[in-house]
Formats: sequence, C-alpha cells, structure tokens
Amino acid sequence: MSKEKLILGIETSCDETSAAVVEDGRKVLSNIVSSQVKWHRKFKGVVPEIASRKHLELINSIVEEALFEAKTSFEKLAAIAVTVGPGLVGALIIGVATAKALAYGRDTPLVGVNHLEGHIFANFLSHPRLKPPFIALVVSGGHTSLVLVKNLGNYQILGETLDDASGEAFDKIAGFLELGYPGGPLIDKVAKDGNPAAIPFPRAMSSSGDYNFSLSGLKTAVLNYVAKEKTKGKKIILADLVASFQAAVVDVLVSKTVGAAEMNEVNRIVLAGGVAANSSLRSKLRKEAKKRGFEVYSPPLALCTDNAAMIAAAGYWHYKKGERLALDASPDPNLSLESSINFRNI
Amino acid sequence: MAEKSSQVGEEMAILAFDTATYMCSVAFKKKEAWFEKNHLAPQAHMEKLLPSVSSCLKKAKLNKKDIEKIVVGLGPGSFTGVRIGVATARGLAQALGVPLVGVSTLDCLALGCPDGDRIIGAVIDARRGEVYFSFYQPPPDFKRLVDFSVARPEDFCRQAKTYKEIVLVGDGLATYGGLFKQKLDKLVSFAPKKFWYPKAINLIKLAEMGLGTEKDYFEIAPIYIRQPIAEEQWKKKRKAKT
Repeated sequence: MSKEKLILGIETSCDETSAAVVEDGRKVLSNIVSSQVKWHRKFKGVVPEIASRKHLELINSIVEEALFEAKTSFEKLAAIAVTVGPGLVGALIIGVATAKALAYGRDTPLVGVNHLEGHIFANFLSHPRLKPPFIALVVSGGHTSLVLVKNLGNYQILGETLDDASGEAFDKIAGFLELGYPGGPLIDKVAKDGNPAAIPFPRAMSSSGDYNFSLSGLKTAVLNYVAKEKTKGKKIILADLVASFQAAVVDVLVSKTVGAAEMNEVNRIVLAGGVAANSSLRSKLRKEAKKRGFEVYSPPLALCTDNAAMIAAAGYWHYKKGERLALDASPDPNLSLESSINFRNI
Repeated sequence: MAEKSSQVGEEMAILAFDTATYMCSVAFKKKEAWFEKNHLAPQAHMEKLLPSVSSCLKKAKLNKKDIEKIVVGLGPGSFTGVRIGVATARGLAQALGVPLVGVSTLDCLALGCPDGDRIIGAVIDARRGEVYFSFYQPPPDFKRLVDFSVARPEDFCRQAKTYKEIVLVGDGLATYGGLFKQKLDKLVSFAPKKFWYPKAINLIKLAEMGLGTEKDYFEIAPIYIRQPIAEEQWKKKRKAKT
C-alpha cells in the first residue's frame, strides 16, 4: 500500500452534489461538482425536496466519476469523509446514507465533517502554509459566521447573522429586481457599473458592539427605496441601486471582520464560502486589512462554492486524529462548529 | 443442468430492506434460512437501518461480502424514509458490486397480507389527507390490478367498492380505518394489525417471483407518485396565469 492517504469526500448539504478525492489533505486529485441551479432557478431559491431528489439521482455516479478522474478505486481509499451538517436535512441525508453504506460495504473508515469547517479548510488546499490562529469569515447562501480559529478543530463562533444569510440577501434582492438566480454573481456583475455611494443604505448593526449581523432590514430598505422612487415617478438607476446595496452588505462584513481580528490580536483573515467569490468583498477586505498589516487568504473561486474537496481536506485531518463517524450517525441540520460529531477510535 | 442453475438462484444470499413507512424492516435469506429484524422506528431510519443490517448478518453468521443481491423497497411512502432506504441500497450495491432490485412497498404489503381469495387493497398513509394505494389479486396468481395512485381516502373507497369483497392492509388503516369501515361496511375486512407494515421478507419473495425491477444501482429510484409541493404549486400558478 502506498504511503499517500487518499480521502473520498462527499458533500450534499444544499444544492450541489459533489464528490472528490484528495491526497494527504492537500492535493486535489478530483473534485466533481454537479450544480442543481437549473432545477431551482424558476423558484428563485433552493427547494429542499427537489434538492433531495436530485442528490439521490446523481450521487453514486458522481462518486464513480471522482474515483475515475483521480485514477483510483475504493480499495485504495484510506477513508471516506462526509458532510454531516449544517444544511438541508433531506439533502444531507443522501450524502450521509450513501457514505455510511459505502464505508460499511468496503470496511473503509468513515469520518463526519462540519460543512463550515470544510469551507475554512478550502483555504488549506490553496494556501499550504496557512496556519492558525486566524479569523474566518464564512459567508454563503445559508451562512454568515465570524469564527476565531485558535487551532485546527478549535473554533469559537464570534458572531452570526440573526436573520438572513448574506448569500440569501443577494438572492432575495436579485429576485426582487428580477436579475435572475442565483443572485450573488449577477449582483456582483451589475454593481461593477454602479456608484456604491449613490444611495446611503443602512449599515445594520455596524456599531452594535458585537460580531452579529442582520441583513433583513437592509432588504426592506431596498424595497422601500424602490417603492418611494416609483411613487415619485423617478427613474431608478439599477447599477447604482445594486452597487449601493452590495456596498452596505460588504461594509458591515468587512468592518466586523477586521474589528474581530484587531480585538483578538490575530493578523490573518480567511474568507470562505460562496459569497467569498464576491469581487467587492474580496477587494474591500484586502484594502482594509492592508491598512492594518493583516494578511487575507481566500480560496480560488472553484473552492469557494460548495465542493467535496474541502470536505475531504477537513476529513483527512479528523481521520488522522483517529476520529470516526458511527454507523448509527444522522445528519444534524443545525450542527454547530463548536460541537463534535465523531467518536475517538484510538 | 437447468435444475442446477435454478437451485443456484434459490441459494443466492439476498439482503432486503424497506424504510418507506415507520417500519424499519431488514431481511436476509441464505439457502432456505431466513433472518429478519423488524421494528418500528419513526423518523429514525438513519440511525437504525445499517446497524440492523449488520446485526441481521451477524445472526446469519455471514459476512457482508457473502451478499449476492440486494432488494430494496421503493415506496410509495415517506419521501425521506424511502430515500434513506434507496440511498443505502445503492451505496451498498456500489460498494459490494452486487445487483440491486427495486420492489414497490405497496406490492410488498399486499403479498404479506394473509387471508384467502379476496381482492387485496394495500393502502399507505400519504399524509396531507391522502393515501397511496393499489389493488391486488391474491396468490397463487398474485398480481397488481391497477397502477399505484394517491388520492383522498373517500376516493380510495369509491374505487374499492368496484370490487365485491376486499381485504385491506397497510398503515392507512391506522389513520382511516374508521372511515373505511363506515364507507365500505360489509364489503371490507381488515388484515390483522401485525400485517399493517411492510416486511422485507416479502420484498425477497417478490424479487424471486420476478416482480421487481433490476437495473444498474445508480438507476434504481424511489416511487414518489407525487411531485414536490413547490412543483405542484408552480404548475398551478402557471395554469392560473394562462
């Protein structure tokens, strides 16, 4: 048997069906991601029942493809790693049931991975020299969390969104303005031609003194603004509106992230999750961090959105610690970064 | 020679399970020996199914590598319940490299119904005030008489009335037994309660009778009958617009 440890990762927490093979937690041999966007588009959001059905349809073929592209097979795997939560419960079930059956059938060790931890680990795949402690801003369609990563596996949640996740806010505004779905990339694109200072939308909770976020008020402010301008008979400049909305989201995210780094005396900031692909968030965070001498890390775009390579990378680390997921394990849709899911084998 | 090959078929080691209802039913057959584990596990199939498979194999003193075929209940039933069964079956078939057969949970219930020569109505609670059902000719010429449907229990009774005498089986009786008695009166009798949930042993029997679907493991899919609610609503909205 070769010394390299191959981990098969499986990820089905939302609307991407993904499987990947990663060597020694660092080298991505394959990362197959099948997006379900086209089935959810007409609903302007992810429909859980449709996501569950599609995951089941696709998962076994995606696993086969991941093994094939990595030029490997089940018997060469050191372990299988699967997302246990947080996410849509029906979607998570497909990944966990499949991973458990594969691991049981092949007598392969199985480890559970927290989806948010996976997003953080996406950075280790692209930045091998990155080391904790650091502040991680995890922003996606389902999550907006500010995390102090003291050590690998040692996470302290500093703050979270109290209502909408940032990606969700982008989707809702894009839906309202009929830009299309998913909203993030479309808003990013339209905003490039707009003036981000055109409309002074509120920066919610920017001086709340904690690290929590609230985005639903901003959404209402956009809706009210549009209604008001319409009754005045004024023409709305879409690019300005979108750029101003995006700036309001980005400002709060950036100021709280930088503030958390200062307060906790760490000089590294890590971006993770689908919204980490937002160009304005990336550039604004870099600018503010540079002023203070902080380093900013973010994964390449392909590893920002949900993918199984990041799950395999995190899974490798748990596997090496001797952690295993039990045969009777169930997914946890509200799984916290601060709770553990595996048992100790050694 | 022909005799020998049919014997091989009967000697095949087959694993079967159904998780479409509250029942987590696992069965294993090797030669003429049967092993089974049936227990009610509402909302707990994720926790119970694989440990149940594992303990069933241990009871049979067999290794999972001895499994030569897997049979899984495809529903209709709880969407999530069925998916746990089908995902587990597909994963096991993929890992072990063995063929996978899908069998309807309604067929499974009907075959498990005792009693003589009356038409069998298999009926599963579909929630949202409806039932999944079908009607069957009893053994020895066991066969499904109509397609699987989902309808309100009153509509089910209307269809049941077209058969002279009927015996009902399935967990739909737990919810709508009173209504069925009232609407069908003398026409209807109920199978004893212990037959109201599907048993995986009957999945194996159905597969051996050729009443299952054998496909590549990645093509075995649940029998949902219903569309996702969001899809139904979207179609309704669209219809209203045009």
